[in-house]
Amino acid sequence: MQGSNDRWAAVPERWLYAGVLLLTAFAFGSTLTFGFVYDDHWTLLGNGFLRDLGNLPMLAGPDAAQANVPDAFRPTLVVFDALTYHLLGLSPVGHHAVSVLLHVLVTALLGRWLAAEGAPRPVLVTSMTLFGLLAIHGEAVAVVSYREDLLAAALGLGAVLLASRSTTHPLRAAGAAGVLMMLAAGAKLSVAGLPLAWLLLRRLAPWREPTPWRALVAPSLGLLLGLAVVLAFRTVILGGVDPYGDTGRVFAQRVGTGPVLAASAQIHLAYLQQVVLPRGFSPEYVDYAARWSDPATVCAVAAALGLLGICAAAMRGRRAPLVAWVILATLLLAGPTSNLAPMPNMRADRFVYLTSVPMCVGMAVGLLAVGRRLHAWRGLDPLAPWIAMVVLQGSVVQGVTAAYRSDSRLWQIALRRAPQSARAHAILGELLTATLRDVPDPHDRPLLLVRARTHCALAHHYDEGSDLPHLCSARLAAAERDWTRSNDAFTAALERAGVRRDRALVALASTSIDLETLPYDARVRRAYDVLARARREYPFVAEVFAVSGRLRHRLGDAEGAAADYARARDLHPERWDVVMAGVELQLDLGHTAAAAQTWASSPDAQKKAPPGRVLDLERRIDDARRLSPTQP
Amino acid sequence: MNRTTRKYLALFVLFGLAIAAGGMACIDTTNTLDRSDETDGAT
Repeated sequence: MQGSNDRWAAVPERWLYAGVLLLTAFAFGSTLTFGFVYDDHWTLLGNGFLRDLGNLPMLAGPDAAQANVPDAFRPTLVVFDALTYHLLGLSPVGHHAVSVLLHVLVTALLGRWLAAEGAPRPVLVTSMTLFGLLAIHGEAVAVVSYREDLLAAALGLGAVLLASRSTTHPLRAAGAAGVLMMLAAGAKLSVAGLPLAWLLLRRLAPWREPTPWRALVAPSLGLLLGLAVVLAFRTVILGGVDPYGDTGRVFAQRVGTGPVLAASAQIHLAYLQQVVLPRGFSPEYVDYAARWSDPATVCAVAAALGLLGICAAAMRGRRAPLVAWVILATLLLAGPTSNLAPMPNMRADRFVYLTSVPMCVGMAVGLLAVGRRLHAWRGLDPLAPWIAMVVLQGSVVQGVTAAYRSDSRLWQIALRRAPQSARAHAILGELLTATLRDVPDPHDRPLLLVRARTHCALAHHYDEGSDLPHLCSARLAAAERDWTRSNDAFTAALERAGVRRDRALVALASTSIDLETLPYDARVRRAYDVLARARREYPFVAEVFAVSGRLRHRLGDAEGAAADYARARDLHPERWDVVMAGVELQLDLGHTAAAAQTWASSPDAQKKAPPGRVLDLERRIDDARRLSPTQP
Repeated sequence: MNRTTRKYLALFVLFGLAIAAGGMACIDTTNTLDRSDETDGAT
């Protein structure tokens, strides 16, 4: 380490950080050309709650959660999303830039924290570059809505940095650290292990003398209090800490906690492999159960016990305090996503974001040690192992992030990696069904239909209990204009949907109108009932009001349709289809001048709508003007 | 900017070039056009 220490001693601190941070930004620069994918659609694009900052006070109580606002139990994240929406609109470039900047910020804060703990420069630079370029971070940075992990990590590392610096004004610093920790936990509870990881680092103190317990009381209390406030808040608004309890999305509820924990032990060994040897990443993993006697589980448990043994040996007489901290802090930070608490996904690359902090420090120290050995043995540059790992991780991260460029690419790669994923089959089936709408050549239609049907059937085969296979079948049936089959499938999807029931509800209302088995009055009554339920349960989902408006428009309820279109436009002003529907309603009512004025004052909709639709609408407006010049 | 700093930054520029070249070998190809998931639509 000495050789590399000397080498960088003359580099000013700002350049030391600039090199690492610019490389980190460069490695994720390609994500700026990506679109919105995955959960971005319902947490950002379709989330009308973010459009009005006046809604934000609702987050302080149970109102937002009761109104099914996405992530209402993560108020810091929702406030951040609302602010970025008001700053950037729905510009994918802007939102991806925010994710990259957040990741750069987290990398910088890691460096500042290690520096505050007395880490030598080679450890600091090596740890930062590894963290900045770690391939497993591809998902968290490339998907806009997963910035929850980045935001929580940035605020959490800011909190522990303040706690580490709380020597001059301990109480004030402890208070500020507590507030930051509260905000961090309010973004995502993945930071729950951070206060203890910080305390361990202070006591094990690998690079300095251990801090006396007395000096640790105030900052520790500050950090833990910040965390406790968020846990109390969740209990108040959700009636418990766990937001996924009764939603039916948790695999552990179907197979029991034991098999899930046995599988989780295997998953954590796989995470370790993915961090050290970057391969095997996927946008999708299939939840599964395992036995404690399975060879893979036995290996994983043996590895965990082995690490704990190494940790115990390292702690004895402070022989290797850094090794002990790396192991204990990794276990602590992995706690919140280790499936001990119910999780809707058992495994995801993004879960390792904060957990990788101590892993990167451990890897950095290990690579520097290997470098020193190689230097003594073969005269190689002591930095050679680090250089090789940086190039490897940085190259692989390009491939990992590229999978998230678009939904179609994402789900195609997801299926390649997890061919037994019901979710991947169902969503690919839906994407193919959506493609049917704009197939120019009718000869392509039968092949697309067969492909969509196959994916839907496989989705049913792999997970009949989920709502997604039924949604796939329902949309496929709607594309084939079999309204009865579609309605039945939407009903089945609604019965199985724990969250996001809005999709099935609005579709159910739409298909109810065309049910030939019911008398017309009963169909209308049923559609109105379902729509009223959707509007009541999902008051911030633009799609609910857009569909409600279309149906009321179709059924002759002009006043209700106008109100729904107006609400849909407030909730999602970027939707061109809602603007066009409002103009069409005015034309139907004979309000030609108002229709023309609304259309003329919507340049964004004119730009975004398909040219054919724009031409049709403008022809209608011209015809209305020509045929009824006296109309208002 | 001293010589050591220039060498340090040059190392990171080389990292960037190596990553750009290495990244090309790691990207999965797909046979569909990039398309957004519009399945949130009603039917």
